[in-house]
Amino acid sequence: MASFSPPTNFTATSSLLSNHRNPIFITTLTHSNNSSYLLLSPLNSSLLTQAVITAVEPSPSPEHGNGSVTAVAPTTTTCPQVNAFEDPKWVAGTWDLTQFHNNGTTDWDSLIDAEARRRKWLEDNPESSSNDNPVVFDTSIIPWWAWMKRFHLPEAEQLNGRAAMIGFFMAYFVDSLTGVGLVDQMNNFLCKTLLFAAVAGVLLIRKNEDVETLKKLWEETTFYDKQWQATWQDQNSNTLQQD
Amino acid sequence: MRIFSPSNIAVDFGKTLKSNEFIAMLRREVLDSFLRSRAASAGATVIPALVTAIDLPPSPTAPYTIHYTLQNTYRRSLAVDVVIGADGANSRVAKSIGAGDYTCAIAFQERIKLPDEKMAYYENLAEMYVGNDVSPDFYGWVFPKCDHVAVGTGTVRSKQDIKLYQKGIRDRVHHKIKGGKLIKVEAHPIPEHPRPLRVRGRVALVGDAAGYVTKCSGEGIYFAAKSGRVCGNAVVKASEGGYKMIDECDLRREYLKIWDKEYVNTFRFLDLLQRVFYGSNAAREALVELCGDEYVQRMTFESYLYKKLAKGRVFDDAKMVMNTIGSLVKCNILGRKMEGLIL
Repeated sequence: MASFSPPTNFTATSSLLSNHRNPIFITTLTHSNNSSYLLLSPLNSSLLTQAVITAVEPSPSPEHGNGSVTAVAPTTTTCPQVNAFEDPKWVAGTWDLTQFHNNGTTDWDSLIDAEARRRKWLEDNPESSSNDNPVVFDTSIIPWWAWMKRFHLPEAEQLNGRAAMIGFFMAYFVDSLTGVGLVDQMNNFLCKTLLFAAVAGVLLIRKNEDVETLKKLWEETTFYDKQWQATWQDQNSNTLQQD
Repeated sequence: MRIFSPSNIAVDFGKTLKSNEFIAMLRREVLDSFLRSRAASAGATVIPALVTAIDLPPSPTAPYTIHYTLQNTYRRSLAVDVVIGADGANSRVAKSIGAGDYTCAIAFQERIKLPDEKMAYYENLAEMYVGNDVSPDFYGWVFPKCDHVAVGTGTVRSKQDIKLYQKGIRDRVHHKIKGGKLIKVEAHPIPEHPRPLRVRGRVALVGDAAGYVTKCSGEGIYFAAKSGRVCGNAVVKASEGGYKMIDECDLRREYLKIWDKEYVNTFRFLDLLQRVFYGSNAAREALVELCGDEYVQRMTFESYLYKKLAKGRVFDDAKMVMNTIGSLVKCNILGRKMEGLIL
């Protein structure tokens, strides 16, 4: 997992970068287009250039006072072009589908990967929205079956496998303890309830952390309601101390 | 209105607005003075003063005593039968009746005067930005205010980082506000939920003092005005035009019960929306994707403009639910891929 600096450091770095071209950074990006996941962190490259920058220019320009209320203009730095998301397949605010061809059909998997990379990049380096280069990409161009084939089916296979294993073992176990066969088990209300619970368990608890997540979710769901009903809770204690 | 996702995907929200419908941008200074003068012309006595304390009555029929300061020097008192506290998030009335505390969000806003050609872009357009850089649990905005724009953001859980988020929203609109001049900085607490006690004795709280602010959109103006009206009507009805003494049960029955029945579902629904869609960048991307759908826009505006959860056709509702689930799943898949990336 990457180590991401907290926002404070990051914005400081980006504001330093905004005034100065970062040649190391750009070449890193173009070289790494072919290797999907091992892009050099811009933080590392910027730290290198930071050393260079501080040697060349003694101090960052004064308009980087971030929280200053008395600043006349919100910011007068030049547009931070260097930090913008750049990719040869990202053309005019959307992904160029002709560059995602794979034997004549569009390679949706690499498009999904590219979009994930773009969002990750923008999450770490938020970019100004611009009227000249608006983002017009619409995720609905990716067909539903591309998502299904890549993400839903493997997980469905895993969950169905778990359900089948649990079902087989529990049916055998109940049969060996009570002598009730599978068909008779399905006619029994208690067994049907247990079956429902087992299916719900398999669907809801997919990872170990899901148990905690579900508990927290339940608390959160009812919390707001409790805050609204608070004024009615005190009704009994209040009528005793009428003033 | 245009909504921008964390990756700057933008949707135009408002395609379904009819010509007589619009998203109102409010100038409080104008609205407040209008309301005051309207009250005065309806027969109210307006006393410009600062309320300093309220004494609770020693017996059920004794009056409340309001201590106030005129023109920063003269201290006076006023004996009244009923007090309606409409004094906002830091309500003194609420403190004096021990109404309890609530968690607040902080909303921070800077008013910036733009050069004319940049202001022309905002003549009929408000913008909303979502993203972790702008706020971890709320949104950032650029709202036009007649001749300048208000650029701001808010948060509940990271109030000490509000300046950072303000820089974040300014960076997101960097190109559009370049060359603008900062004319004012404002910040204000926004209640997140109602106070534990909204009525006590013959004192009722309305508006922000009671905590009637929806989650998700942070809207409080309408509910403040409406709760004031409902409460006023309750007092008039219970006291039969001012001739009978009212008590706490009257206020609860005529004001709280009616108010809760009418609006608690709206509040609950918006709380659900906030929890689902403002939780992470992936969820925010899903929100922006969904807002592009025309049915969603129509339902949203009908509910927002007429303050009733709009009833649509069941088939379209079902389609919307499926689209919601689909968008959330797709964006969470992308979110999980993003977590595994080292960029």
